[in-house]
Amino acid sequence: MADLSHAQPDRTGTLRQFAREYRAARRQRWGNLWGYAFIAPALTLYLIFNVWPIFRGLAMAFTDYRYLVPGSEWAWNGASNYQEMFTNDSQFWPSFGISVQYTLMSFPTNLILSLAVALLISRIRNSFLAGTYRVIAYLPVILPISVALLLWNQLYNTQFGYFNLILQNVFGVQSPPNWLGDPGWALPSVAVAGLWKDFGANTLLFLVGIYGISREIYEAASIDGAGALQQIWSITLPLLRPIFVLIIVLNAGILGATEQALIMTNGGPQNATLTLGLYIYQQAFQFGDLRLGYAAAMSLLLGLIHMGLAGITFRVLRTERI
Amino acid sequence: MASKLVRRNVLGIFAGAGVALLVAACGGGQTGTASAPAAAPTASGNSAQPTAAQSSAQPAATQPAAKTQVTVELTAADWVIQEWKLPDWVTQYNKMGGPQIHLTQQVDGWDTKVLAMIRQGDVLWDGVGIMTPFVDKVKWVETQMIQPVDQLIQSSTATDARALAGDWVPTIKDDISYKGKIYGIPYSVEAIGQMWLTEFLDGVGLSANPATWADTLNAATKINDKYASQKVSPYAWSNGLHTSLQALIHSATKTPYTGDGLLDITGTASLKACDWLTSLVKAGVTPPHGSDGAVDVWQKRKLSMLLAQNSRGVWAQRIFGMTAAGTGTVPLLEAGGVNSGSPFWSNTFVVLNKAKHPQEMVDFYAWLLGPSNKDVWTAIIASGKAPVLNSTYKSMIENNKDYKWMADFRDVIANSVAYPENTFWSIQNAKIMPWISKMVSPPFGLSSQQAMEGALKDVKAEVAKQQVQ
Repeated sequence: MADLSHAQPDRTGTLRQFAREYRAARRQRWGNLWGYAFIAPALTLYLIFNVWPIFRGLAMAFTDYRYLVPGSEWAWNGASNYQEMFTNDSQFWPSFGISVQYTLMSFPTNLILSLAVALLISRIRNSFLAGTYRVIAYLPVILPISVALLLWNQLYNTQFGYFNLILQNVFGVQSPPNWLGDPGWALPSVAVAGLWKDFGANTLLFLVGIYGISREIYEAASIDGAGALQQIWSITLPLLRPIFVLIIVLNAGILGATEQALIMTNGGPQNATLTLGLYIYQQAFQFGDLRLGYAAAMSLLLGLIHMGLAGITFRVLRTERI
Repeated sequence: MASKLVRRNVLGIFAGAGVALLVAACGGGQTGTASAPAAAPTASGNSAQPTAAQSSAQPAATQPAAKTQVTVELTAADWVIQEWKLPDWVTQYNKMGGPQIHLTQQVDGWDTKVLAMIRQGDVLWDGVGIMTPFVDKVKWVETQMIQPVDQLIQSSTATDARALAGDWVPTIKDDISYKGKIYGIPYSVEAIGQMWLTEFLDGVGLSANPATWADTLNAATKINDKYASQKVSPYAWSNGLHTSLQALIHSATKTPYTGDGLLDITGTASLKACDWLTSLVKAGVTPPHGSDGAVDVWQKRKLSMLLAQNSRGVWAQRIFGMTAAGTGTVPLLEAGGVNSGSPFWSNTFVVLNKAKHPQEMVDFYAWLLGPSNKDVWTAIIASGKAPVLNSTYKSMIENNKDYKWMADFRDVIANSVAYPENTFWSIQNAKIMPWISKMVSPPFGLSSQQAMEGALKDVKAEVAKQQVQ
């Protein structure tokens, strides 16, 4: 029999086994740590450029930060900004009203138009043609916004724009509208330009949803005698509910409407297109002290409204999880 | 199993290398380059001879001068770069040896970046083009974004440096000064004027710019009678406070601004100007609202007279020919009547606070915009911008029939009342223009008095909220 009195326990083997079991347990809980290393750069950038500005903006909304006044970055003033907004700013409510009008003009039309176009494209059997129409619908989306809106400025030109030339020479209209110069026409004109720019994106989203609906459901409905409109009403629209939610949530920011007003009319004529987003821009970057704190407060209010709209959308249009 | 391990290790090495690269890219700034001061080249291309004072200050011969090149960073707006071929002058300066100017186009939001850099003490750029004094000067000085250049001009080795301050038109020098210090070196001056297309004025038998408001309305009415069927608008103004009411107030009173630094919009001159603007629209010689796309229509040869920045006349000359358009001063309320010149501003190059090479920046500016650099002034004048030096007017403008109008403007600017030193112009522009637009629009339900009182109330409400007064 072997003399085991001087035998040492196999510590190396025990340690190795412990390390193996530790790694396995960690992998089970945390996953592969290399994954974290890979996402670390992107996560860092996201935290710096997306998350930090949110918190900084939130903090700024409760300060009287004026760019021209040194040392005012952290001048806390509580709810004074909001008090001024609601009771002592003669432009805030009119601008808010203009933003709401713009949204009511633009968004429902956008939704209906993009859905209609998506339905039409979805009925095209030829894949090449369908693809072509998808590209055409999406083209305005990829144009830089300033290019698109300046193009519309030229179309709207009272003397030389194509719209008025057609109205005068084809339809015999003697005094065509001053699209961007007449306070009554300016906001709808800006809304139409914004609609043209944005509807392609929603069309594509609707198409994604429509293509995801099984053909068999439509075939079964046809067999049961449902017509095209009935199928759309009873099958397509209900099954597109998640897409509606997505589009409404993604487009909630339309309430600001800053670029359209800034590029096309700069708030004119007679402040008819001075949306809240543009007014915030003026306060932050153009007027006097450059009141970033006050502008941040108005932006926070806009953000809360967007969140509220998204919350209402989720609540009203909630869909069952599959 | 072994190959899986090897692949994982390779991926891990790449990930580590990527993180290391990212950290290396984010950290550290440019290492400073320093060199012994070099004499600034003169306009003729010869290096300036060191003065006696410089020679005595030069290091001893046993201490070699540093070999590293100084690079001076200048950032400018795209229109400033393109208008008078600034890159060509930068190339010419760089070829002379000495500090090298690196010209870049301004990025969006450059001013917020600059202020952040100044706070950190590491400013990327040395100079910026341009500052528009009535909008930017107080803001940029109060936020300590720019530094005064008086001492830098005095100690500049550029030949023309010390001649500059005495050669500027005095009101232009005031325009770029703040609390007794000079804050930049201007390359051109713009003012508001009245431009015309020759064919339309000739067509109604007029050979000169109407001199008064009444003459202008008269000329516009005649043009309307003759050319309305061709859809030519007789008169319009460029959409801006300075190119409409502010310019007309200047042309009708010696005191366009109130004691609190605001445009005197409820004074007699302003109310008369408002009445006149309304009368133009009522007479049908100006489109409703007065200024929709005016400059656009002007450049399409469908507007016969335009109230705007004086460079717009040169724009039309470039498009239609030198004799096709003319540029004149803003008509007066009455012939030979009291006036305070015209709103004007100097397009000014500045030196940033905490710039690494402020002296070299000013040396370049002084070389570029000194009186002896005739090629540069020729390019500036050809772009339609008026020069800022009295000597340039004497040598290059007064005997040049194509640009003689600039001499008229120099006289107007020399007698102009400067815009008050405050940050309220943007507020006034935003608050007053909607009232003007409403006042001149059918059904003309708003009188001049009502419009201006309403506008003043809005302006004062906004101004009261500002701390920097």
